[in-house]
Amino acid sequence: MNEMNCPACSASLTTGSASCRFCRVAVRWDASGPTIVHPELRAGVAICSIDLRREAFPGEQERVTLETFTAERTPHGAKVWLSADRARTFPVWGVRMRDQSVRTRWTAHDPGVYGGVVARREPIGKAYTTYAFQVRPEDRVFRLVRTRGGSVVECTAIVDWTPSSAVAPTGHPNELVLAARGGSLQGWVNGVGVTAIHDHSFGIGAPGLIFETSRLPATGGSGTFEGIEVCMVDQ
Amino acid sequence: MRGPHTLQCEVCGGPTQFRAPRCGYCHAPLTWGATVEIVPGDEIARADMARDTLPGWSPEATAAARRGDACAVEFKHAMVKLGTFATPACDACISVSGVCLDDQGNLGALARYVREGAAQSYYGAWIHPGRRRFTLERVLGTPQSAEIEVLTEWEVSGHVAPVGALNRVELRCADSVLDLLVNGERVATVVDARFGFGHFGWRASSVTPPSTLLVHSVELRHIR
Repeated sequence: MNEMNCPACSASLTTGSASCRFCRVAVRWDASGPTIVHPELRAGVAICSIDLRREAFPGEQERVTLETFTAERTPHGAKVWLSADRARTFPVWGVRMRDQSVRTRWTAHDPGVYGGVVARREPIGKAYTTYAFQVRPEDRVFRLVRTRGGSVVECTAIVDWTPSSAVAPTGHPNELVLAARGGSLQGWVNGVGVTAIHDHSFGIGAPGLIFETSRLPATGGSGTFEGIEVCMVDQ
Repeated sequence: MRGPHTLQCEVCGGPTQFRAPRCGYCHAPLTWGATVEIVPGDEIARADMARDTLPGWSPEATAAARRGDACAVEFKHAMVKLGTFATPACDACISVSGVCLDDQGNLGALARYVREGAAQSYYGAWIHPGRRRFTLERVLGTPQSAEIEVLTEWEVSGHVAPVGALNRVELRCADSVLDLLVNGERVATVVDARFGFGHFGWRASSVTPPSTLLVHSVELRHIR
């Protein structure tokens, strides 16, 4: 019996098998060996749609002013400011689901800030597990990470910062979509599919938004989110 | 060799999720019962303490702790000791056989264990022969804190053998379905989709040290 290695987890894979017995990735066989097959993920029925130009984010006030974080609703959306080296997540806690498509459109106002959407954010006590799909407009790069932890958060890049011309620069809006179905995670930036990856680490949780600052002076940085739309993944 | 069938589309063979209405690859409709029957399949790895190394321990440490056909795990302080096989997986059956020599020891199996940096997460089962009870929990821990959510509260069961007798605790995982078996009898079934992938292994702890457990074997199998 011929065996090759799984392209996702490197475990041995029996020739001709439809999926890996270890990581459950679906594979297709051709002359060069197995390649990963991702299911076609399309946004289906909308579960919730929040227009941040007209309404506040669930659980947040219309205007928040703290030393390290401010947020206010403007005609363009929810404008968020964070001091340097901070991260803030805005989960839609009422929506807990396995397969989900999360879409947002946001604009970075300062260099160095990055943000996007989160999926499958799930609390365990005071800790969380999360997938985050982000763009950093200053460098026109995107990444997909998973995080675990509470007071200390461990962030692991599934797809590290990757340049893409699909990412609009600072001052221009970026539309991000992260769709998850089973172990398949697929990301789009401004309508362009930029990543499709297999990761089975987290299976369920809430969608949401994320905004982070890094490499910034003490003045921090800001961005404006126009809204968030959460859909089921079409079966 | 037969492929996995517990969570496999009957039409195209693609992996499916428990309770998904359709296959994500060929869109064939899927039908599900209240749960899935998880049956152990081929062996992935086995550690027999009469001859092998305890997963997560060095050969020297195992040799130093070997007592006949078992490996002694001793506790002088309150802590959890654990070890996993090297091969990670989504769906598998892990079984741990051992004896608690006093009423303070807990013996357990863990599934989908991942350690990234300082954080670790896993599903874990315990049996406590001193009170003949079991539990199933999920854990997300950092050095600062261990967040534990109980999936099945401690429950007394006659299937848990008493102190001094051999117990076999088995955790079977298929997608979001987790089966806990004690000495071959299913004592709990839980549907939880939180953690999907990781390493499988054993764990042990002591309610009040000192305490000693003997681990006889740890076995990891595919599901059929």
